[in-house]
Amino acid sequence: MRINPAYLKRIAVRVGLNLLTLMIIVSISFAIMKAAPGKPFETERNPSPQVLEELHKKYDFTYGQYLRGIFLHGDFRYSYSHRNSTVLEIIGEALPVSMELGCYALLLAISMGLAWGLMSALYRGRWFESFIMALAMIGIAVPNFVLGSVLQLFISLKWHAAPVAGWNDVSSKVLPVLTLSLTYIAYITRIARGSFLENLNKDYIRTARAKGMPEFRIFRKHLLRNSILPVINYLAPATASVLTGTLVVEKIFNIPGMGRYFIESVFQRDFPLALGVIIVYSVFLLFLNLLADIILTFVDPRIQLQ
Amino acid sequence: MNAAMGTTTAAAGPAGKPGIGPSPGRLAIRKLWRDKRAVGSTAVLLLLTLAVFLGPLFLPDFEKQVLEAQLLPPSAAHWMGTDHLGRDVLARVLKGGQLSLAIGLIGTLISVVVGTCYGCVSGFFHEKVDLAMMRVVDILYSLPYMFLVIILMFQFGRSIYVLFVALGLVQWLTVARIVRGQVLALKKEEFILAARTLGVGSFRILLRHVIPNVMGVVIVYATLTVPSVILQEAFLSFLGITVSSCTWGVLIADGKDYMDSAWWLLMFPGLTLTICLLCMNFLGDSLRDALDPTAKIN
Repeated sequence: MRINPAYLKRIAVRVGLNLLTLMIIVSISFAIMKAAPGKPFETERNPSPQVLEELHKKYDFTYGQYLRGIFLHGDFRYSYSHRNSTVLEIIGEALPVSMELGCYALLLAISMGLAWGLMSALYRGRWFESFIMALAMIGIAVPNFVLGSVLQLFISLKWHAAPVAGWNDVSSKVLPVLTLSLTYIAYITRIARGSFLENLNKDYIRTARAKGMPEFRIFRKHLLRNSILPVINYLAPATASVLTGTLVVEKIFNIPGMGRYFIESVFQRDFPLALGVIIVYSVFLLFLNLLADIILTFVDPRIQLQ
Repeated sequence: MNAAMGTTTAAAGPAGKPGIGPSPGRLAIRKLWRDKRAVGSTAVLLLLTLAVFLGPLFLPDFEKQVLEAQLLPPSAAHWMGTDHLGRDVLARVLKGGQLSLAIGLIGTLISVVVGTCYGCVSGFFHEKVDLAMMRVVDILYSLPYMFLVIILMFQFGRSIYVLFVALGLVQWLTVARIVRGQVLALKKEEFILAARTLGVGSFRILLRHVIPNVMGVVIVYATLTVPSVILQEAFLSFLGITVSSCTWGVLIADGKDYMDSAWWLLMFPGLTLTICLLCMNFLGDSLRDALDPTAKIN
């Protein structure tokens, strides 16, 4: 509809800015990690100079080498703690896990959030609405690591209803997904309720009802489309914070995802792995934001791409 | 961001006419007083603050290890039980509270000061300056902060000043944007033009006219930032990146290790943190509603 050259030009500008931001992120991370003195493996077991030389050739790198590596060869180099794997291999295994966790959490959050939001809008003024809103407030305030630990305590340890940790079968996925999604369920419930309330009183809804349209059809054709905008607006920063959320959820439930590898790599000074994870996350974040903004311009014609 | 607070000036009453009716501040306080949630939250927070700063005077030292009294459940002697080294959990939770509150307030202060200055300069001066400054903010906004903070904290570590810088860095951007929005709107007001005509210098205008009028929004934002900073600090210390071994995040992480045998080690710090954050969020919400000039007062 509006895919004209000006629009494409703005997208190009955004992509350019994203690449610039990516460069800044890589530079800052590189600088921070190189700021600590010492080269890798210098403190371990006092190897001979030749061995050290070989090790450095394989594992150490300068800023220029690294950049050339990632942009020209797609080479993120070797991990310092998982000595025989390249960073790309490790990320290749960990990324699908984290994505699965994140996607389930967001899907759960959207579906539950819209559902609860709609119900509290429809039952406005009754105890149900206050109850749901109170729960939402608690959901926003409880930190995800507290929630995860408490769920582990009660559901896994006391009632044996789900495994304590791990990521294999369906039952082991329930608690982590629930933990990660709760804050977003709470936020989306609040946002959706506000948005539904605003639209429910509008004239076009009343007209549809007066014409005898069944409630569900009204919801599907009119209410949902017009109310969903604030929720979509929220989803872009929400996705970013889901990424930080996985850091803690993966640690608590011992899930072999990017978050856990990142934390481990920072503590073990596994510089290439940490850098690799940051880059992958950043690429995700930046382009997901761009995608969200593009979708927004299609959903609401009044919005201009920045 | 501008929806958080309409553009009011300190001199105008709710009718929009200068000098008529009580000031927005007074109206806000009246509204707050009626809001049960706000009053309740303030009471709990005041209680918490008192407990956290005065409590340790009456309790055993939070560091004192009594190895005969390990992992005792809550009792009359130890209201929250003891941990794996025999230390009184209540004392540790209160000490953690001191740290969390201090970090929350100071971190928020830093980000508010930096953000307000940046936003004022950006909004007040030449458009090109504004464009450049906001581009910087946009780029910084898209950085994955938590990751950078984690590496930063780990490398430059156990100093509390690095923590303040790191936490302040995360929040100031939103303050800057909000303040800039307000300043842009304020620039068009007549009293600013009047001040300029009288020859008042830019800096003085900013200090005496712009900033007092921007303060309302900033305060609302600050009350919502404090719990955010406390949460981030707890998040970092849960992961092991901490400046002290007694913050709430560390207590929760430690408690998790013993949760199968000693549930109180996890539940009490967790509950305290949650209640603290909940009350602060309630208060911030109520404050934002109270300062909203579009809402009616009975």
